[in-house]
Amino acid sequence: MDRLLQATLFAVFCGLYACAAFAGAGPQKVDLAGPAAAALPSVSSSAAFVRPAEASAGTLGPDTRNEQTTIPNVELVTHDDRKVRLYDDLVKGKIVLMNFMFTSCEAYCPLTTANLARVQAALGDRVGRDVFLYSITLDPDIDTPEVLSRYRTESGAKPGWIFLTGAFATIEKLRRKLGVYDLDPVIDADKTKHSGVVVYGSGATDRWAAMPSLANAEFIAKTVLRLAPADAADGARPRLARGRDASKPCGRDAREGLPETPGHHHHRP
Amino acid sequence: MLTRRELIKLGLLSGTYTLLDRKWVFADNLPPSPPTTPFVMDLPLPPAPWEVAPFPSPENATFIGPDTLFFQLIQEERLVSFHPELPSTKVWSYRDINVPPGSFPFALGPTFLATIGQGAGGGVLVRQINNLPPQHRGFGDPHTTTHLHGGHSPSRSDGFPTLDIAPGETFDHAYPLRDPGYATGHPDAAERASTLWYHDHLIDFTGPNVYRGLAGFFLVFDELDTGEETTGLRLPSGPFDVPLVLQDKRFAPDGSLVFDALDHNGFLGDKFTVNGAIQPRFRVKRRKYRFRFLNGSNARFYLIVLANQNGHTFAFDHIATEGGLLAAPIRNLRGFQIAPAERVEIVVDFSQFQTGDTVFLENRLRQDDGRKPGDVLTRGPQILQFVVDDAVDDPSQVPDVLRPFEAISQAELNRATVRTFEFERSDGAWSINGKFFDPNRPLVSPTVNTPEIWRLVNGSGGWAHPIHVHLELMRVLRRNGKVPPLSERDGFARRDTVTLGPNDRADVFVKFRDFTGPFVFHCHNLEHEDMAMMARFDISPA
Repeated sequence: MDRLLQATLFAVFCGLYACAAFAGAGPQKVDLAGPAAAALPSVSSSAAFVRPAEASAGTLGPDTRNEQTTIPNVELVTHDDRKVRLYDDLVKGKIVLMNFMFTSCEAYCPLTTANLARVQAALGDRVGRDVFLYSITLDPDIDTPEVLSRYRTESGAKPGWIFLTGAFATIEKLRRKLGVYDLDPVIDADKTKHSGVVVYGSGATDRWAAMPSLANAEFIAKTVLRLAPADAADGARPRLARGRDASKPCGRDAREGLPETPGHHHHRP
Repeated sequence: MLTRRELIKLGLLSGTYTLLDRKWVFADNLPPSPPTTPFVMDLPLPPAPWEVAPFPSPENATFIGPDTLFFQLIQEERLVSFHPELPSTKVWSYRDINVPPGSFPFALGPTFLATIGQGAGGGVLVRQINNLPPQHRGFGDPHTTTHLHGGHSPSRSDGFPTLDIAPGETFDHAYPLRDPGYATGHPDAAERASTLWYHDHLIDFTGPNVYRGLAGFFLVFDELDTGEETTGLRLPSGPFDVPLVLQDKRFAPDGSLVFDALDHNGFLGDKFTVNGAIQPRFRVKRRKYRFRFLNGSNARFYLIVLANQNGHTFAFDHIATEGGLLAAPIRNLRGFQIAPAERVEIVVDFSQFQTGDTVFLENRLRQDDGRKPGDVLTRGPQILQFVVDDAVDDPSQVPDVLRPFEAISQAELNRATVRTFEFERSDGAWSINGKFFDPNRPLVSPTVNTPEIWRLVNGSGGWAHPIHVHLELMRVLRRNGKVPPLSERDGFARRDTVTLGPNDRADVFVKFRDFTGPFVFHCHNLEHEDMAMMARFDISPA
């Protein structure tokens, strides 16, 4: 009986735990307007390096100093023989996954293409709406739009999954820019070694990362969707922290009853 | 596929990749940072956070007692100066909630100074409040998960990579700071880390987020390592106990940080910063100092020497690693290598110099890409200048015995479960035992409080990988079949990061003594970690 109860409690705990740790339900919400910052007394600041007007806003506003994008705007050709600019036409404002492949690649590419098909399924109706997959050939001489189109159909691609070809030199430049190369020139010269990586990111926020293209497909999909705009991902924000009285800003509360010097247990002057 | 000989014939191996436009080829070809005059900025030393009044944190109730200290940190974007000749730089970092916005001019977060907790009621509770800009554009991701690196923390508080705290959300971390093994009734007062650090650990974005500034020190004291020069071991303390984080960065002319989010080999900067200042200076008294080095770089290794302007080196005592104090000091060391995430603590006696002398920390390790460090140099860049001031009283000492402990017994080794982990390159990505990181499935599930021997094997050819295991310290038994060097040898040192050079193999002992649940181990070259060179392991109940 005791053991059963224990096991049940453990299972319930684990369930809750897993939910909290991995389903994103764990974090508490706080008032977006700024955690207690506004309620703090304005003490004289030693902010020699900080512009207080900007800093006190919580966020410093959009960074207009570095407006260039990470993804180059190279010219490519789609599987349905349309000329496109990579950034302007395919990346700007979208969430994208990009990988390299070629249709005659027998060892690795079929596996990655099959896994991307699973990612496509896991992404559901987001594909073609705000999430797009781009598979770029490393063998443009063979992989004409026609060849790619056939391969694409066999791969089960939906409208949001586009296959791309282009000038060999352009694709090589793009591959290096996207970090899909090996520092060892012997390995780098082997184009079967370049389909192991899927570069993903958001053209809207210019945030980019990469994953192994054979990682768990559900995991890839979930990780990529994290980059969806905050308002689309969670319309419920902002909310208040659990267990906290919104009428009592935590900063002022926190300071009550504190000794005059920071951290009485601390020895550092 | 071309052979190496054919490539040499083609000229591909000679020098750079001349067939391609250079600026496309490597991240190293990002434009250089603007020039800056060295040693004009004082070494920044972020202060400790202030305690806040206890607040309810039901998830952590079992770790909260009457002696628990509560803190709240705000993760924010702020402008700081890395150098007076550069425009100010936007960083992401932590700020103590008690410090008004705009008045914490440090690139690093506050430096925690904590004491090992006794029983169930001690320790520290830290509420992390994510106030990063949700609409941020550029490298990094304003979602976070905070890991106390080197800490012995429960799973929920360990900063699992997919925890994902969004801007506007908070998360409470319980750091009980107990003797490890407390919950199983076998606490081990000999096994206590001292220099911990906290940093972001977000899935796929740890590299850019830490590079943007999400890191800080967390120093732990106890009855031996007291933080006072009149008690315990009487090591140099207070203002003479100085944490130094080494980070390489790259700046645009407008002061903003430059990063290549698409460089998966390991990002290298061209400016050496210490505690968030480019090549700072530090005024020291003519006496002993304890320096706690942390390599907080994404991918750069360092070989640090203390040298004068002519390159003449001076000796110091090595006293601690990630695993806290060594059993005994290693005296008269003249240099040490430090890989990403590693800590090396030394004591330097400046009484050997004259007032007005200058000496430097010099990095004598060449590194051209994220793969691995290169040659040892006879002279290297000076990354910090010490200006020797007048003499003061020095009651501190470096005793001949620090924190002695027994090596793991043969009986314990005999009953250990042996597991092998191969770290490999896999078609441009990284894998452990052929598997990529999967946050939903543990690679292994050791039983709590059961001895384990982990054989860490670097099968990735010409790459170096600093391997960091969460939760428990590692004791290195063998390195490449031989007795390991003192700085990592069981019975002398403990490590939370064991660095594997190309084709290295290290056998380590580890026992997960109390906390159950999911944790991770991974390569701490942050770009390798972000490219899935990580594994979840679950500690299962007995």
